[in-house]
Amino acid sequence: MSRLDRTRTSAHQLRPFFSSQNLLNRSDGSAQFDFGGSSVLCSVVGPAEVKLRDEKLDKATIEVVARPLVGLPGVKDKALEQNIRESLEPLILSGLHPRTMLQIVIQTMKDDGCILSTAFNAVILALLDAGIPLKSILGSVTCMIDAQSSEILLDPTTEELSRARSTHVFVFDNKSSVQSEQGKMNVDTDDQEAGTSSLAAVLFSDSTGMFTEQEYFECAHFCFKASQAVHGFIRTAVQKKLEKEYQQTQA
Amino acid sequence: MSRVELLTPEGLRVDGRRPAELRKITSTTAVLSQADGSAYLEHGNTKVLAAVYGPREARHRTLVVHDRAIINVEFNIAPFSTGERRRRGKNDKRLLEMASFIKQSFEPVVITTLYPRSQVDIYLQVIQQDGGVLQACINAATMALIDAGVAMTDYVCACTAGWVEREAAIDLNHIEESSDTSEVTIAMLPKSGKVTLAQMESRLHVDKLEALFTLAGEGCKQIHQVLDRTIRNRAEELAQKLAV
Amino acid sequence: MASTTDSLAASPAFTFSASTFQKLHPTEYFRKFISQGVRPDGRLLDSFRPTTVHYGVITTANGSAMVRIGGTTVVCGIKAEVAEPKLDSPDQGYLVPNVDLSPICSSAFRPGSPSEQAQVVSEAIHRVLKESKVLDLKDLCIEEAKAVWALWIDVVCVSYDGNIYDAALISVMAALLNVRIRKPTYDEGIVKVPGGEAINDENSFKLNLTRIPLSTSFVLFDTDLTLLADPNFAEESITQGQISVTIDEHGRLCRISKVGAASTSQSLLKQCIERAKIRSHELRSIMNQQ
Repeated sequence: MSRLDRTRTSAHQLRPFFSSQNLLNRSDGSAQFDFGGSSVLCSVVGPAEVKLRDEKLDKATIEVVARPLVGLPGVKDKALEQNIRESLEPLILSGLHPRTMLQIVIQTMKDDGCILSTAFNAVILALLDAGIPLKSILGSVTCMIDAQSSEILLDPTTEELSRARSTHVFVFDNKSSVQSEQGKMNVDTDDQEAGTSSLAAVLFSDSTGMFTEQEYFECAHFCFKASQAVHGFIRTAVQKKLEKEYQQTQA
Repeated sequence: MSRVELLTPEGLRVDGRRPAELRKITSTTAVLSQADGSAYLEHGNTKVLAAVYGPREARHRTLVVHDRAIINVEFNIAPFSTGERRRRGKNDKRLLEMASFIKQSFEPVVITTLYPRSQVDIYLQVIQQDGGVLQACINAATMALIDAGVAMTDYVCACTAGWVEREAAIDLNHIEESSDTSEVTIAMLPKSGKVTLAQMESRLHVDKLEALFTLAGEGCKQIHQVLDRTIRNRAEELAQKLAV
Repeated sequence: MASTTDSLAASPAFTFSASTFQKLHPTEYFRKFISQGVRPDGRLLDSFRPTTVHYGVITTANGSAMVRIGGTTVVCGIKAEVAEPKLDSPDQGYLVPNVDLSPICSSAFRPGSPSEQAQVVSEAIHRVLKESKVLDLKDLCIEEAKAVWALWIDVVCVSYDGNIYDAALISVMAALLNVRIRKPTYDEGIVKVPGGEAINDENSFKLNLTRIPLSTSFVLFDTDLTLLADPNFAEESITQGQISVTIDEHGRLCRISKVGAASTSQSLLKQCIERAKIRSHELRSIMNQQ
């Protein structure tokens, strides 16, 4: 079955990813991440000086600022900021830089659905680019359930989202996903892969609409599988960047 | 538009009250768990909630006064409190003016010199309006301040009075307020009979002012009795708890 | 460092009272309770605070409700206003929810523009109302492309002691159930809403709600992610992660959100969903009592 955007053939296919790091020369780290027609640019400054009011004695203060595609920041952007900040807090080793600030600015460049997922992936690439110490890497994928066919579509476009019965954003980190692979033997399901997903730990989840419990965990399963591709992609992106940097130092 | 009859031939008002009759007052203190002192007050259908935080560290260093506390009044009107929904911004001039009135009427009564370099916050939330918002706010704030244990020389009781057609009446409701009646709000210290606030915004013949003042003063004393009873009951309740 | 340990050793009577210990080490204090399977306020880990719902508390609003969950009190008032429809949906009315966390409800909130938390809760409620299609917006149409009802849903938090999202959503749903709007008449560009006589079944209509989503929230404490139901303010401030499950009366999910804290296993999410089903059932019977 072909998708509405005509470029994809399967419901479980993601749009092509694209990323580039170190785009901005005035910030400590930056990255752009694209999911097809959606694109988010992210910059990271830090560890930098912190305002006295926000100072934390035992760790770095993480500030996330989200800018919309057009117009002034609104309620949606505030929600995006909070989601990203609270998900990153357990990931960043902020105890290494007490009494400093880590500022993350997210700018939406193109919007064709799944902005939250795109932003998550852009942020992690920017943090890696800035050399911020992290516990693990995250990867985010969005899926939706079609109102008519009840089919799960991964990485939907804006057009597809308008027909959604529910949308689900998931973030998985690479550390706990490895653990879950090891633990899959304990699960008494027929399908080995479904067993893996039921153990895949969820770092962030945001689902709205109308859905059943079973559908929710199915979505988690598909998003988890797809997030493995995102993890792999991030890994390659970092590897390439480091190789390039190494060559430059050699030359 | 047909003119609303504000007085019946028998001299009764739209809600059936006599001219010098107050609306039913319901008051409770210590309604909020988070605030240092709080009170809920109803004047008929006007419902106000007051919370007092402090005396506590002043928020801005620049505002600190070295020999006394500063009083800060913030005003919040619920959007659903009026007949017509209207969103008032935080910097609405009318609200700021009201807040400033309330602040000024409490400054001489609260013994601020006992709390140097600190701040007392009075937050007011108007839940439902049916005339006499200012008086309700002042009365609620008094109760909340007493509940918070902030030292004061006296109660501050406020009451409105206005000429409803040919009669001087107290405690005007929304219908009476909105049909071109000249209205005076006064805030009084019931023990000394001193007035800390007198506010009027409409045209009134000077000969008629005296009558309104006396009437509103009477109203303040009645309100004082009601508030005092609530406070005393509450104090007794607390004393009993302490005794056990 | 050595001198401090010496002085501590020198004075073995140097102990804190429980309340001092709580102020100095709030997390450690809390951990001690949790290790015994109970919370400082006497609740078990998965128990909820007493909840009450009162309908029609605001006479100036078309629909209103007051909800208390322990020390948290919210008042929701809904005003219906005649408005022009939006261009892309000429036959639909609209809902505008807003949550106000003013400084009156807690010393944690500062006066000024709405806090991030207030905005996030407003957005979450807006999304639940919109995406789980709580009511058919076509019911709010007065005359296509000319006039519709706009429902201004304002939630004012009067006392804040944690779990604002649950309280706000219950109050919004209760207020929506309580809404009565006078039947309007449309005549050549003028909408007339009759006033005067008392509202009754003849001259007014109620909203036809397709579903009533209610939410159950949990926080995750410590590194072992202990699940605490219905957190109060103190518990919210020492934990990082929260899970909310919003469920309708048929047991269908409307929203699941897990934000903050380390990755949680899916069995924990399942546990939350199971608990939310029971809780939402309890809440519905509380709402129906009134």
